[in-house]
Amino acid sequence: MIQLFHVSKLYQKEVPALQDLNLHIPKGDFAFITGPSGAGKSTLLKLLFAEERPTNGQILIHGRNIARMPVSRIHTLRREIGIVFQDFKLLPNRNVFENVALALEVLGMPRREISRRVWLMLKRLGIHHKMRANPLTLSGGEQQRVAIARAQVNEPTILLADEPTGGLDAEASQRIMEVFADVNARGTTVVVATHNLEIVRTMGRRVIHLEAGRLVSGGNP
Amino acid sequence: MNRLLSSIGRAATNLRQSWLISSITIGIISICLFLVGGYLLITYNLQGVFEAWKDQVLITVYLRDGFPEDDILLLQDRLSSLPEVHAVTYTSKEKALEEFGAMLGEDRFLIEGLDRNPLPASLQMTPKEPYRNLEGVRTILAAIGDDPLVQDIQYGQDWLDRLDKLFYLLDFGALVLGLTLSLAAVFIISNTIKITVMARRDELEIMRLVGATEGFIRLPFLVEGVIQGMAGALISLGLLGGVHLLVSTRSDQPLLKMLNLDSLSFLPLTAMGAILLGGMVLGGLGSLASVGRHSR
Repeated sequence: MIQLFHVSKLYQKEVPALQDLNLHIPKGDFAFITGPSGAGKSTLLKLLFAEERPTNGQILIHGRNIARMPVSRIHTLRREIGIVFQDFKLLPNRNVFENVALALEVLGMPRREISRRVWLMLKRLGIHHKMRANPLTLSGGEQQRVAIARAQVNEPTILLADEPTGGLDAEASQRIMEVFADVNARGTTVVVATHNLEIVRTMGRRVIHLEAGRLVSGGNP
Repeated sequence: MNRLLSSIGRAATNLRQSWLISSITIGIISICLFLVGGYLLITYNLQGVFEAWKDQVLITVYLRDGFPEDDILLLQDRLSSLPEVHAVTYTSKEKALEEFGAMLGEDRFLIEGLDRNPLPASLQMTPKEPYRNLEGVRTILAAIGDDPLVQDIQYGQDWLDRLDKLFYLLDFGALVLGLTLSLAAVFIISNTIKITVMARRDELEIMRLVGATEGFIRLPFLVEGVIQGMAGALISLGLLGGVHLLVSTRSDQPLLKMLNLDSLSFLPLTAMGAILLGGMVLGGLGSLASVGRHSR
């Protein structure tokens, strides 16, 4: 469960990126965050995985106030949250399998268990046949599926995605959304920031709309 | 233990994957440590030369004529028992003349037929090692005190004064040069390692995003830095050994003649150990510092 109480974020004194945001995303929800460029969508996601700290307000994730979480404990939060970006953030010096395995290596999991889980996750997303390939040789849609596999392989309870279809064509975008719907159907809370309104309309899920750092609609489910 | 082994494995993979930049880092570390080691090698050998100069510090006590030899031997005993004195040698008037004649060689006739021996008897005192300097000699002079037998004392005051100043200058110069070289090495090495860390900043970012602890992220970098430092240090020692072999086996050896040395010494084990350890510490710390700068 994600709860925000009166959250504000100021990068510069005059320009607030987010203002007095109150939000409630229950466990298992699927929500889009929409709004024009500069509305605060990415900032909101960054606050949720503690890449940024709020200037004011409290953010509770599963009841834990991450606004006050010490830096040394942030890794425990990140293990509960899978994150997907528009630019995939895959390592070119590792193959597909090794990119996904990274999320389990940091947990200190035995190699055999890592291999089993990565294989199952790649199979689920239909890219197991490319597991020895360099990610740079894959199409955009395939790269995004590898990124989702990495974000999901350690079975986090929340999946955050920042413009995940940004560089993809309509067909690839639709497939990625189907993957998100599948992830959500398995019980994971999914939050997707996008300005692709066509996708939002097609999916028919909850929409949290931001403008100029303020919540316009969809604050409560 | 498992974590360390896994970190060593990851460090080895990283070194293999980025072999070019790792080789450059190792090369730069070895050049820096070669310069520091070369400096140590030169000062170590020069120290031997200067120590040999110190061995030549000698106090000559000239004695008045007319005193019985028993009195002289008593004075010799007294001076020998001084804690600062290593040895006292007695040269009688006759022996002094004989030695002077030997020194004159073909011109020996100059002193033949003298109605009396003009050379005084003397005692040559060698100070113990810590007193082979101006201050030490002054301590011994004070201990000799006023003695009716003593006519004059000579110890090459000007020479000793200059030797003292030279030692001070060398000590100070060695310290400044050594510190400057070491600091330059630290600066260059840490910046080189920074480049390797910068090249992997995406990996650092992703590891943090998937929930890696700082320890998990830093340990392979630390291991990698230590391995690079060790490799650089071993190469620098190899290079120093090569240069040492080349210089010391040259047939004409003008350098040895100039320095009045029988042979050039290589670095002692402690200095080699210090270079190896220094390389490992520099590599490890340089890595950690660079990773730290890319922290959240």
